[in-house]
Amino acid sequence: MAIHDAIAQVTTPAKRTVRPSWMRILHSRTAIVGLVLVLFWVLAALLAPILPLPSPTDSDVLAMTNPYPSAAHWLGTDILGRDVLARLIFGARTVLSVAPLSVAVAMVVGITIGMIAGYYGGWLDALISRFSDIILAFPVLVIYVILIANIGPSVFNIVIATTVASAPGIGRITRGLVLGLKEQEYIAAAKLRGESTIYIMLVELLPNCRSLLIVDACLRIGYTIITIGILGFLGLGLPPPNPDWGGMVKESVTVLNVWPHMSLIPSFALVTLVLGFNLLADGMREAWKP
Amino acid sequence: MANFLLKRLAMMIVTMLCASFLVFAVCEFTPGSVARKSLGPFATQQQVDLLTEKLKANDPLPVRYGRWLGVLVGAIPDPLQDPATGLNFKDPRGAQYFGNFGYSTLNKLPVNDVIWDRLGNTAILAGLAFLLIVPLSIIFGVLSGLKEGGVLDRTLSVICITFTSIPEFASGVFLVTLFVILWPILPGTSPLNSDGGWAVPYQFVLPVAVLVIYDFGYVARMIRVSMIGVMERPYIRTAILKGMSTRRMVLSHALRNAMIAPFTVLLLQINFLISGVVVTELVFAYPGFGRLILEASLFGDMATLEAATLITVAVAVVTQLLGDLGYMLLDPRIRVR
Repeated sequence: MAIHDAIAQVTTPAKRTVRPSWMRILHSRTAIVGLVLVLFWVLAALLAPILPLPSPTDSDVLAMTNPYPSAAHWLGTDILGRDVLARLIFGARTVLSVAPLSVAVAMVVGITIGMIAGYYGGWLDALISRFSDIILAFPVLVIYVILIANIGPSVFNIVIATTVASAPGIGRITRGLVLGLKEQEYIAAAKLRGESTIYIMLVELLPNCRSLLIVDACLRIGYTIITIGILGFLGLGLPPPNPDWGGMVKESVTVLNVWPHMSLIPSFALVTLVLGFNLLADGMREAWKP
Repeated sequence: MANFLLKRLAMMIVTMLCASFLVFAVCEFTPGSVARKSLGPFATQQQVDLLTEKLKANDPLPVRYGRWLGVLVGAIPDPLQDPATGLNFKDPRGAQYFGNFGYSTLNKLPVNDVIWDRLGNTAILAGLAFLLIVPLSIIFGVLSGLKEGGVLDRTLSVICITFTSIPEFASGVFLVTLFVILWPILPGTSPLNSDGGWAVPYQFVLPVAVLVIYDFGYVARMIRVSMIGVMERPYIRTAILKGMSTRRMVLSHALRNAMIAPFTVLLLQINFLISGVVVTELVFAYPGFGRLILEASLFGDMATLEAATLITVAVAVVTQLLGDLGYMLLDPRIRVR
């Protein structure tokens, strides 16, 4: 920081809060890179059935002796002779539907408990906060492993595990925001004109929390993609034949020293998708900063 | 102060009780598995039923939890070690003592014989990672927080975000390909013995690197935010306007104040590292605590899993308390009522 920055800081008035505008995100270069990465995988996932790809589950027996990338298999084949590119793209369908779905459910639950805790306060707040503390004392992955190992791997159960693991954190953020907002005059005005509590929560409070919550959701999608990948890697992923990136790494990591591409490609794909969501979240945070 | 500590200690014990009950409820919701797990897959159904009867494993969930708790505090002997079960499970410490975590059905050993060595190994791994995470994240965080939005900030931020996007199993695959297969200068497994021809210190390099890669960026981002906040404070402005050199301003004014908030974040990373070690230990075949949790939950080894989660939750609440205490020491403005 140079001297003129310090002077500028004294002389410029405090910035006003800005409403989250989606166009502002495009001013940030990191956000654009993130958006491109995410859209690339979303498009690939959407177009998977139309793209001229080999089947993601059929084995090409001839390719098994030479699984390296070739004209027939652009990214090679895996240990069972299945096309890596096709599995990658069909795997994107799985991860891009399960992760946002789980985060959406976790957000609904988390925002609800956070709103209730922050708005009502008192014993409800104490109860919710203490319970959240207990869940948050567990290492996140341990929650997933214990839950999924006991209730079995399926899309529904991954949604449940994500909700259990993430809702307390989302609730805590929402609670903090609501505590700050509920003393505002427009809340008092809404109460005075006799609006219902539900109306105040959904129409007055929620929109004012949205920018932080959207950024948080974006980060959580990235983190949930990682967790789903880890579960696949631990052998707790979605049951076959669903292609799943973590599972692809798990299947081929034993032959890493012979055919490294089988593990490297899905690992790299996972990193690009997570990086996309994280860069997007960072860009949104910068663009919507008050 | 004493009052505050007592209150926090009581809260910690309640948290640990609730957490252990939750794990118990999830794992033991369907009763009777203890008998099957103890006898192995070749036991007949009659043997299993008989043992279930002897262990009273069909009692309601709260009763069974109470019994587990009783064994743990040494109020009642471990039913699995009763000679009447014919299992020949023996704990050299006796069947009834404080801290009896019971018998591991997976390892066929007392949990206390299994868990502490593993915990020690993981402590070494996580400790080494922590020793690297702290300075790395402080350097990255402080440098990028000096001038928000500057070129240096943007570059370092993108580097940090990229590293936090690489989960442990992916960086494990990348690093093993580079340093074990293409350019073999490091071992790809870390069993902590020299049977593979690699000295033990070499075996730590890759697991520690994997943990550091995933974690340091996140902490650096936290320190960055805190640093930005400090740089906007009037006393920094005063220091700059009176012509203090940047180095002196950062070292003597900004850094100390910028480290207060991230201190808690850094301590909470200990909990985060436990998540990380599960995958890292699996990738590198490291004989640690994280792998024990994974194996125990996959096998359904209730006693080991309960002990392991109780210890992780204990670590989490203790570091939280230390974080709060340290926060009070570092920032005299914070006083507890």
